[in-house]
Amino acid sequence: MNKRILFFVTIVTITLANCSIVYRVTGKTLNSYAQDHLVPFYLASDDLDAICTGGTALGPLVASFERTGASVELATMVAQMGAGMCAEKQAQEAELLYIAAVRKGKGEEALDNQARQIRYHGIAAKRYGDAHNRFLQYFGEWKGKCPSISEDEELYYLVGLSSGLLAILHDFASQGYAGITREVPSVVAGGSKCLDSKKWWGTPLALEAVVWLSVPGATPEGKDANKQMEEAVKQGDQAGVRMSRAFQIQAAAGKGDVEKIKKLILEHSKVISQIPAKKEYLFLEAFAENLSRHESDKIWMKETGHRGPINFSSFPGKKKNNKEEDDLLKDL
Amino acid sequence: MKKFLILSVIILGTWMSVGVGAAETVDRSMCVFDPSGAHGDVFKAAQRYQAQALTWGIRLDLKAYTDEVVANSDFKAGKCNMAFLTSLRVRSYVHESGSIEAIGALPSYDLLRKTIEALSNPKVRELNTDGDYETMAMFPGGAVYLLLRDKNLKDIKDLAGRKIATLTYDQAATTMVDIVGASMVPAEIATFAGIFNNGRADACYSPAIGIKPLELMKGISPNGGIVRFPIGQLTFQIVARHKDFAEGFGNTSRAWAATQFDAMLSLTKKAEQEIPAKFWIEVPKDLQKNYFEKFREVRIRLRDKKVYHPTILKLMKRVRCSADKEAAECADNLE
Repeated sequence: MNKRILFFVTIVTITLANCSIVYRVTGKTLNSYAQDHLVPFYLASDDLDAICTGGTALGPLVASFERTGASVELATMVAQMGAGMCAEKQAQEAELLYIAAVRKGKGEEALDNQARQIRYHGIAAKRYGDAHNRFLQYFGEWKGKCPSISEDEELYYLVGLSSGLLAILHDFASQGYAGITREVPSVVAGGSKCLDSKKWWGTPLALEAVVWLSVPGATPEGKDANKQMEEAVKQGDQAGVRMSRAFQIQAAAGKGDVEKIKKLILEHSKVISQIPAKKEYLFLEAFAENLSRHESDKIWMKETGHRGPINFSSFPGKKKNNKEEDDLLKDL
Repeated sequence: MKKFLILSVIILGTWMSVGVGAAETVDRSMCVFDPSGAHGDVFKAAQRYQAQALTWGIRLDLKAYTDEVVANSDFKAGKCNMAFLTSLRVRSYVHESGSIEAIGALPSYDLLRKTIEALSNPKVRELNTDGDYETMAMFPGGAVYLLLRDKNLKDIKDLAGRKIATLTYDQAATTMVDIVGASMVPAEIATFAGIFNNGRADACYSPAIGIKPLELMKGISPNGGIVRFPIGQLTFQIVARHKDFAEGFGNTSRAWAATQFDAMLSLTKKAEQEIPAKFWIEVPKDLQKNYFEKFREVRIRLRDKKVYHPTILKLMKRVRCSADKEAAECADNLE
């Protein structure tokens, strides 16, 4: 009887030990598969909805392999970025309905949609914040010096910085619901210097400039945030990855200068039709376009009560008096 | 009889459709100053106010400003009916409510809450009005703390002869620098952090929310710290021309704003909790007294110069004494 128990215990122990080895190996395999294939596949897709839903669904599964001792920070970071975008889209939707309710003079509707908007900003801030924490776990806390970053890791480094910036913006919009550390802007501005801006389509320069433009007093002496942003946009346009434009429009939206926002959105729309997007990074293009489209829709909703064109190529306004047209119509 | 009934129903129906319809919404505009613009917490608060104001029949159009001087001059020029500004600017419109930020008058958030609640009482509407203007709402913006490069200067008397980065338009701060015998290093919001971090000033002041984003840790490391004794309470207030709004709007608005105290303070409280304990300089009771007395000297001087309104100083003293009846000041008649 005792022998049987001993045998049973031995079998269970071996099985359990094997299971944990199998899990860890699976985690490692999953992580390297994600880095080698899933993330590049994500990045080449322009279907934001699919990516964000995938991130929301797969994020917890990928992150659960941490329990087996596997290192899955980078894969989890990308999944959480996708998940953050889902919440961000919901916040945008609620914001448009809130603007519509204000236009219609419906107080309760406005208050309710505003409450929904704040909730979704909070969820987005938590998810982006989680992505940023994975970035810090992997690359180490920012101590003012660049970590050693391999060529394969540079893109993840850029995504990690961007997630921090998005986390803090959404946290502000949710009354600090996610409790994102106020150190993030200085981490983003400092860390952006660790990457070659030209190689990454001007995004590092844009990240630094957007921090300067958003935090009063953060611009170092002798630096011009707007000029740097323009340089970043130029680099992005040439490369066909226009993340810098999204950050530029976000910064302008922060300043509340509607005419400038309109001008930048129209420029973005125009450049998309002129310079083809880089195929490997269609996802980042789609993300930037979505931000511009949302800013455009906000203006349309406020001025007309409905959304604007999908390619954000025009704004409501009076038709200019056209002399050529007058000549055509003369004496008819 | 039947005809009479039908006629009555028609008349009643007509009367109901005319009389019980939704009240007409009135369009108004608000210039909103937020150092972080439309992404900032103050602008978000303005949006909450905007949604709430719809239920009072006012549809507000908001415009964000990152420069308070421009927001203020646009309001002055009549480009907007209301303005969301710091109390420092509101003081030039409504002397009383703008005096709530008087230096050292409210050393805790509880005291500030009590004061804002008291001022939102309909009985004291006149303390929120001044000529054509009325303060429609008051929100906490966070306590302002003194930051030092050397923590040995924690007694306010130690600041004599030291350099303090001071916002030039801030009369309370310039008077304080004068009274403690320090020298002023002129600064703006955009430059004070650099001046302090580079050692061109021994001290500066900031709400907690500015400490991490402006990397003021650089200036207080390795030997300095943050004095845990609020030198003032930053408040954001909504000021308006009362003729643009229905009678009673101010009372309704102030009562609602007073309920938003905790929501407005959430980011500030998180920022304060985030500061590592090692950076705080605790001020012993006897040194707190020195701070209090110096600040009171500043308040009295500015009251006599007509900068602070005596009634508000009196109210704030009552609030302090309701929380600590034993305090020495409760027996005197200085404020």
